[in-house]
Amino acid sequence: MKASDILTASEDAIAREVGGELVLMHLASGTYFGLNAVGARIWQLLEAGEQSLAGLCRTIVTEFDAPADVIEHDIAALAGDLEEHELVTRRAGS
Amino acid sequence: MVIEQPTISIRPQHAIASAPFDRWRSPDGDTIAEFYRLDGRYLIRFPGRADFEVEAASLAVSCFAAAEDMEGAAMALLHNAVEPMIGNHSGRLHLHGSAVAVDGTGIAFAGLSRRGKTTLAASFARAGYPFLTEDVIALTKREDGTYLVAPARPSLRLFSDSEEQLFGEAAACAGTDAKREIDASRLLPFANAPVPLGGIYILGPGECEALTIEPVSSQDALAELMQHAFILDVEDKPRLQAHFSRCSDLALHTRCYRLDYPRDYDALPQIIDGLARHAREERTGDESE
Repeated sequence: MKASDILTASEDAIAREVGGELVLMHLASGTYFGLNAVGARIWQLLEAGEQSLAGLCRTIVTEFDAPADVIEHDIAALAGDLEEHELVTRRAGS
Repeated sequence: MVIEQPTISIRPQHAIASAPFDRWRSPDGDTIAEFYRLDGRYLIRFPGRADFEVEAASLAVSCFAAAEDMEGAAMALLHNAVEPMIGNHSGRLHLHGSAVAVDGTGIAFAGLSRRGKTTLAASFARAGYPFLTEDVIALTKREDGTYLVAPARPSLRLFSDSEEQLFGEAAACAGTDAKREIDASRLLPFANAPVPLGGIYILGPGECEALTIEPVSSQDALAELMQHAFILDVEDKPRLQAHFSRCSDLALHTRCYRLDYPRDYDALPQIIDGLARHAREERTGDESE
């Protein structure tokens, strides 16, 4: 996964905040995915429009108190999980 | 959702030209129901038992038993599967499960088929706690965010082994795979008015040696509750989203627990005592908060 890769939220994903977490459901497969505060913010950004991994990292670094390398690692891992659950699609960016 | 005096016709189940867009499967992988999209209608087929045609616009239902000896099964499927499906499609909230009243508070048991929901409801009733429903938990949200659970039909359908254990006898004609309908009575009390919902217990597989009750987080409860919903059209995204939202509200405002216990008839009285005690303690905790 590259920093320039573009992520797009799936149209089959629905989200709802439940008990302090954002719960995502994939309508077609019926799978569920829970997101913490950082993940919920990332999902909010993705719902607003497609985002590059680098763009997501830049936003999260300014909003959350954590080292940039940790945030980059965590966002890449989350993106991989979301892609695996078909909640996002990924394509190569320029 | 109550369909008044439904007429059940006999109609053999012929092959359908199109492929089903959805299937319900048992934990063993057997097909319980198939969902087809016909011209302006849904066809819900319970193989070997009954077909139901639902008009997409009006949601009017036509019922067809697959054979003469399937009329009772068709009626049970209408009440326990098709009506709640249409209810959820119309914006209501029905879950697959049973419920009983403990000191005026409803406790509900959700779970996969053959997890013991009806046996549990019947056991509570035999211990003096009225049952509300054996298969469909019909919920109404109140203005304060809490829920009422409504009574369903005043009867329970039990497998012969459960009937024998609970009542000391079973119908001679009932095989182990057949359920027999038993009406509410003095020995099997029924709660005929809605009661506040105190909690939902999600039944485990019974692979344990003692009664276990563990709280479930709202997030996990949501995933569980969606599994036990009745969905008519899994491809209708707006309705599915609305149902997800209703289940989210329920998960947020209702205590949910993972429940498991050994499926041993001799242990059932202790299980019922333990569960009733748990329900009372949780309610006392709520009242003191």
